[in-house]
Amino acid sequence: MAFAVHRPESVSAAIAALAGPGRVAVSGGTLAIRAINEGKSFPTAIVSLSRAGLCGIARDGGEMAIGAATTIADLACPELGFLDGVLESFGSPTLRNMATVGGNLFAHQPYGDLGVALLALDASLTVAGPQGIRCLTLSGFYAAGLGADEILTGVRFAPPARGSWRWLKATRRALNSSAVVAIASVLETDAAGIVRKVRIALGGVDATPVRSPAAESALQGRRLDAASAMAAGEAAAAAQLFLTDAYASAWYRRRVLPVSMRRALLGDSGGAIS
Amino acid sequence: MKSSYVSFTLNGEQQELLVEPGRRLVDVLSDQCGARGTRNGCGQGSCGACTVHVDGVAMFSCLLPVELVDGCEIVTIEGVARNRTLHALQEAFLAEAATQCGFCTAGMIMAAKALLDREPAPSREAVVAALSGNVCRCTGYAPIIAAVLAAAAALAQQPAAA
Repeated sequence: MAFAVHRPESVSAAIAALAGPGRVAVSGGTLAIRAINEGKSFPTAIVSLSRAGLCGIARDGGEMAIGAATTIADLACPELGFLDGVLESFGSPTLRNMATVGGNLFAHQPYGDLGVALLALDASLTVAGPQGIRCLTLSGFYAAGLGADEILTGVRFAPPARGSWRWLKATRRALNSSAVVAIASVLETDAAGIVRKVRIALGGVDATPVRSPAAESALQGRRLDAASAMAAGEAAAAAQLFLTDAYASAWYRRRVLPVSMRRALLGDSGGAIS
Repeated sequence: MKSSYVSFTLNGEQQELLVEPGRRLVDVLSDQCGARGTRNGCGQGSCGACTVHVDGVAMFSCLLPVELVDGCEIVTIEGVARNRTLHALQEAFLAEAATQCGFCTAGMIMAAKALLDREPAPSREAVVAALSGNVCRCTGYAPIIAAVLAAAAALAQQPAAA
């Protein structure tokens, strides 16, 4: 079906182009154009964000600021080296050349791995609309979404302290496979091995990526070891609803989560962390 | 809705085309450029059959409204052979029997070429990862992986490989 294609060269032009019925913002197109191809979306016009000045990765004070139209492939850079595991498990190389940071936050679970990682990083988002620019938390975005006239322009987060990042994605195949469960965590221990700071986000389990307060409180103030990591996984599983889809049943996801949590936090061997 | 002019280079040749709005690159290549080697498979970015290079980057042409490649340099399977000489990847796909029905082959070669263009001597693991967005329902992949590795070895022997 026919739809007009707009390529605005600024955010304000993009917002103006979005005004009106049947307009859809498109970033990499791996979700929005796919939906059109599948007959699930019928825009009269798409507004491509690819030239709106939303690509790039910058350090801003203590934070990383990433433009919403930056591709997943472009995240493979030295400043974001901790994300390598996330990127390798994300779709296929060709998909990563197209899919974008902002677009991935609109993926329906069990897709949207980057959102799981960003939730554990406690990322905040910048959004532009006819009323101006606003900031919101990623969890706020997952709860409420954006207005139809708004554009997600960027993502910010403080990089995790060295050695504090954890990522594990349990999948049906080794490559290009969606999450059975995905676990992202920023976890800091003191010299005695006691957990002093922990954020844990889960993917593949619910309608959006979610934080797991149950797993976090099971670890806070405890020594990080196989028993506490497994207990965190059990606590997360007990508190969590699970999706059933073509990749896995809710039953299977519940079974897989605790051991995946232990592996995420301690490595495959359950022992030392590199 | 009005048609518009879109221009891009296709395998080195300038194209200026009047296109209906929102047509996909994969369809325009076939219907308006006579470049029928690129296959339209799933329309989802899942199968890889429509893989082409846009400004040197592998992309799914089923997910690209053609207006978005205005001004870009497109390379398709038709642009891989030079001067009526097959590329080492194409020779290797023949030699290793890496193609059966042939539907995936153009996309496989474009994905493999994207790998070899940036990593001329890949490991087997790197080849497998590079082809993870391309589905083949005939070969079981082993001959395709062998062909890409053979092509890399052959290119390493050539003095100034393209």
